[in-house]
Amino acid sequence: MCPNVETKPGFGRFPPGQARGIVRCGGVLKAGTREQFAEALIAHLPALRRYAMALVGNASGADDLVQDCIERALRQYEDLRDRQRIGGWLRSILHNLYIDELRRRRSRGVEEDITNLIDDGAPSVSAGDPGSFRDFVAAMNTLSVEHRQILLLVGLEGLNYREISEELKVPLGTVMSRLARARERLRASLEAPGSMAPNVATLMAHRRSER
Amino acid sequence: MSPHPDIRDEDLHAFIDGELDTARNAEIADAARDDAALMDQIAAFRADKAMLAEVYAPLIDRPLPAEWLKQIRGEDRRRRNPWWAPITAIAASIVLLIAGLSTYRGLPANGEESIVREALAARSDMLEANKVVVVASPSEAGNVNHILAAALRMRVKAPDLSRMGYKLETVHVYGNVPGGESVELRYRDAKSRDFALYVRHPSSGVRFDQYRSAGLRVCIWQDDVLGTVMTGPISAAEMQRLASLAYTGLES
Repeated sequence: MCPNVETKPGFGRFPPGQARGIVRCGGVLKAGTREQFAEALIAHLPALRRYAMALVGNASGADDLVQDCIERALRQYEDLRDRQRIGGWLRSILHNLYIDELRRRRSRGVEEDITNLIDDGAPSVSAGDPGSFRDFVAAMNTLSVEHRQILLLVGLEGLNYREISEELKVPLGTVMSRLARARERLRASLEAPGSMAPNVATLMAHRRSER
Repeated sequence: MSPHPDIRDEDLHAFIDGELDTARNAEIADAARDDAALMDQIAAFRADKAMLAEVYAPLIDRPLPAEWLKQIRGEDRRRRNPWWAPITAIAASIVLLIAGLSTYRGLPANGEESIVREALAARSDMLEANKVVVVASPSEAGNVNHILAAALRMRVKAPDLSRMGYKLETVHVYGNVPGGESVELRYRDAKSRDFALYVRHPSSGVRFDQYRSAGLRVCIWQDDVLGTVMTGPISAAEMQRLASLAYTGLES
């Protein structure tokens, strides 16, 4: 129990009697009540699920992972020291679970290739070449988890290097070198024979034609 | 690898991501203007970064499974329980265990969840079957449908789950359950995973639910006419598709 607890008015929108307010403990903004945590968790679920799908590369595996992540987050929500960081906290849980999962090599369900979802659900797909999208996902899936993770944090989650360094608990230099290696491997995979992913010239020409 | 001798790979990517200070940023921009290979390299990495966002970003719009939201909000209620809640939970578990054992022994059990207990008991071969039919080939479908219809006393047929890679392996018929007899259709896929479809007359109202229990995905789908429980070591997404196929496939 924190010896220096101070309560402040809550996050709002909660029924009387439930709102316990922000709890400040040793200068750190804590996660608030369980109800507030639940709402924050729900708000972050779409992004978490997207991240999981991109990381795992198939939808059913990603959904299992997110469900495990929800269970663990609900059990450990009191460990979240700063509610503002819930996104990174959830991604860390999910990533750890994924690593455990890979180690255990637990049998998975029939994998629904993520490219099926992209074909079904992505409004932007019609503008592009489904073959290219498929090859891009396939190329991503050839990378190590570490490389996929860092590419997604930069390119999908929009984190800057310092934020990534804090989330992964690695030095800034490691973030930069890991990202460089990841991008080079991805490019090499995309340029491998048989890939339908567009080469640079095609992509640039496509983008120019869109302008 | 950076084609320019004075530019480290790390700096090149930091340039692409706008992470460099103004002076170093200007140096690389100047170098790229004079070096076509460097310019192409930067364009390639920028294109890959853009492609990544284009491919994955729309996945955020997919609707969330209702089960997750229920789980999160349901967990809230559970955690608000008072200090004596664990004692009550243990007592309730003992009652459920006794009720479950009664069911396994073939005694009729009322209540909404009895069908699930039966299905799980059947799956683990703890229910004694009146009849077991091993399905050797798809040509026996007519025979299986006849067994199913006779046991349930209604026009139903064994669903064809081959589209999902599952082949019907066995049919178990059980007696002494609510509504008379029940049937378990057990399917297997190429990875030797068993998907069990337990069918009988419903013991309660319309219900659809899906959750995970002891390593199995469990789906209850019940209407006024049929009660079904589907179980398998599969993901929620796969269960969703299999359940749809199985439930609609029961219609004769």
